[in-house]
Amino acid sequence: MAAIVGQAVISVALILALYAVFASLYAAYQHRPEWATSAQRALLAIFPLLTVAVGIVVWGLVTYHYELTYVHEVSERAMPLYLRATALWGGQAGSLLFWSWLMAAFAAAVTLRDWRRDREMLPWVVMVTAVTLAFFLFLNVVLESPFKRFWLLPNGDIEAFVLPPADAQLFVPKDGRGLNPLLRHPGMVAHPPFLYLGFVGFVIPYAFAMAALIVGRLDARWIRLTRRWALISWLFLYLGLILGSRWAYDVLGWGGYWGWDPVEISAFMPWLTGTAFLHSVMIQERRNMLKHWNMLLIILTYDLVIFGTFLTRSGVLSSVHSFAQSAIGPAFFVFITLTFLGSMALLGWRWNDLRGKEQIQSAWSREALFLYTNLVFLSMTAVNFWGVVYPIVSELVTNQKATVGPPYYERVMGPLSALMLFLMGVATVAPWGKVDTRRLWRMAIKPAVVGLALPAWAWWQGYRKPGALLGFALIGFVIAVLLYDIARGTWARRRAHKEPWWLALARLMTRNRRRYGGYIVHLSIAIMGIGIIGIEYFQLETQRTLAAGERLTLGEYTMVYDSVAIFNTNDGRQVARATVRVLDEQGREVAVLYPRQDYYIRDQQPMTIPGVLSTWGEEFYVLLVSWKPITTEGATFKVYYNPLVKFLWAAPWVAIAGTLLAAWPEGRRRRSRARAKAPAATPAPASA
Amino acid sequence: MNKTHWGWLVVALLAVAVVGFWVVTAQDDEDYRLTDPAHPLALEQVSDDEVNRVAKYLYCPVCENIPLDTCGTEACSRWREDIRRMLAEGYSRNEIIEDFVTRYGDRVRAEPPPEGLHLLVYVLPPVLLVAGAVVLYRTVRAWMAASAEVAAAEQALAAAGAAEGDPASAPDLEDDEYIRRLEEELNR
Repeated sequence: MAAIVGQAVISVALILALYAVFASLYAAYQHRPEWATSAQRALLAIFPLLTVAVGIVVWGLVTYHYELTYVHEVSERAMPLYLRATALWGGQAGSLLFWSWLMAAFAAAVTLRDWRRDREMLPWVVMVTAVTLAFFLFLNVVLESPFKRFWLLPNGDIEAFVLPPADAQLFVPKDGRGLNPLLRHPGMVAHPPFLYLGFVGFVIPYAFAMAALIVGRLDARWIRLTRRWALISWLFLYLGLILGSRWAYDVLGWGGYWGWDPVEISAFMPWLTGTAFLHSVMIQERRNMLKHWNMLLIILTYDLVIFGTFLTRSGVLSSVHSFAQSAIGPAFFVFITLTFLGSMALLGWRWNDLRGKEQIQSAWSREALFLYTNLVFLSMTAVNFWGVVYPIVSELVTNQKATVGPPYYERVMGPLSALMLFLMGVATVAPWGKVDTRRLWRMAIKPAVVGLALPAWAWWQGYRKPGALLGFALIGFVIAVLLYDIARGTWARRRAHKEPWWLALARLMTRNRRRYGGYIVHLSIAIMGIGIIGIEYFQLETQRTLAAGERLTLGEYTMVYDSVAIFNTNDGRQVARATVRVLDEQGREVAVLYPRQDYYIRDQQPMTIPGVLSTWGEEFYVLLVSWKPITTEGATFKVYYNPLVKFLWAAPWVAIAGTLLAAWPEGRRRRSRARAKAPAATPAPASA
Repeated sequence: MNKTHWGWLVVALLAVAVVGFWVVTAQDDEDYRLTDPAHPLALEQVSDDEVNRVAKYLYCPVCENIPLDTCGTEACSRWREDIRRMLAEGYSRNEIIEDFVTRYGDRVRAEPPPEGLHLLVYVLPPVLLVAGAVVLYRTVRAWMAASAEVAAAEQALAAAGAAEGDPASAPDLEDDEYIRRLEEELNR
């Protein structure tokens, strides 16, 4: 019964979305604003409808309604409540519904903003948002409905349909299949939602960009209106990627955090173009340049977001031949192609109108450096895209699927990342317009030298590989440049306002939120870099079978295998939990770890959970592997020594702080002051 | 040295450093063997670490994108024991990899061999990067030439009458001047 309601509700939502598309088109062409308002309302109404649909699915999951095919596929009685609820996004149909729901929420928020100053763009923003939503709703309603149920047919077969076939009876399985064991982890709660929020959020700036192109508002207005949307979406995407890395580190059992897997890369690519976009729009706002780049970058981000969802959800990566087994693959392919071609056609139509009057005056000016930054990000995206797409190409051409693995990505991304760090440092000190390179050199050389403290410290600690030292030198440069700039600003304020240094610093940051918020995010990237260099260049690993009481040494730690406890849990797992004591170089016990292996009996799938000793210097990561059976006579341990990786896990917190600072709305007093100064140039205060 | 040349010197040094690092790291460990075929080892004498050192270079023949040293399936365990046996019998690392490729195809390699269509994997990225850099260089030169013309025209105007300097390029960096500019910016 509830399933019928669910299907009806999403069908109505699809109709409303399609209505919104045509109503907004009509409003725009016939200059009938009341139709635009009607389209707005239709878009707004989709959110409560989808909330009902999502509620029904979650209710079905939580209350064991296994006649729903989707519930049966992703949950089982033994799963705890939080996993049953979050299994909403554990499988294809639910995941796509979740995407639609989040998109509807963002669409609703957009319709609720104050449109009085942008009436001409309204119908187009609504149209583009509604087209995206309609596509996903089409997938939900027609191709992958989460409301299919099991029916026992007269001939004895059990089939899944939304509506009951003739003479069929509802079939209610006693238990579900359950979520893939690898997904039964708290990471399941946060990683997909954050990633999807990032994806969905970028649709809004794209919609405004398309509206700007169509309507001819080619100044920076669309950028100013969507700045915070883009910033917050960027943060969610970044956090989603880091959460995915952390989750992989915790359960995939290879002591690593990023495998250059195509699905990982499919989320990484829109992050790259999104980051480029966030930077490049600053140049349009300040100097009216790089307008073509900004359009291109947001178009790429949008289509890469859809492509990312497509890669994760269709079977195209396993094999081109499984691609067409479900209609999802071709549907996505068609949608991406049409939207990409359409957007590029729009861009081509307005190409000449986007030309700015300003010119780049110096190869080392800030505008020029941002241009190089765009190129580096675009290159990173292109090489990643090629690596993901090549296996498909090779399968189509030679019928044999090639693997493009980490060596390819490391080879290309290493130098590009080094270049990016260099640009990050230099662009912070480079002025606008005409640049005296001798002065630039003087401004950059001091932080560069101070930054050498980082590779010097690394050398002293024993990290002596040339690539790593170069990386540390660049990171040191970036951090020093940031600290120098913050210090200079604070000192200048102190002199001018006679404030104590901490007040000067606080006021400096809060009066210039975009700049210093951005600096703090740069700092987080630098911190992330320290962690990545540590683990990529200096990871140690070893594997041995130990009997109880035996020990093994890796790095400066020694671990002693004490005992193992083997028991069954009441949710269908057989658990082998080892107790391991970790000693430092002096033989003192520093930790007791419990690496575990959970064997899910019904799925016949093992899951390893490491025991980790985490310090800022390194993480000592112990896995219980099952190459041989696990007993007290002999258990096999794989141990990783991961230097500096804790910096990687700390970085996102700094990014959150920086993004919040950059996105924080201006206070009322400052807004009216700004508006009094330059009424034509300020952003509308109600903009998100 | 001309002021512009300092900048390009830095870039050149950085490029040398990056390419140098590339070359140095591209020198992978050379091929090796644990023993020679005339003196095979017992299986127990081949440690797990030695097996993993070879398995790292291979991908699971059936699972998606999982390296052989971390794959947890039964099949992968057996393949790792194959590696152990081959190492004990005196095969070299590259010989073992070739054996797997013969049995399961090129997909077990972490990278396709640089031949035929697969050359595109190795050639396309550097070609794209160089092409992009060339396009960029020429665009920036053209822009700078155009802006130099504009600047020359403005100078001519300034000589003839009054023209304001571009505040963005105020050359003075004395501390008081800096404070003034910083204040301007902070008050914006």
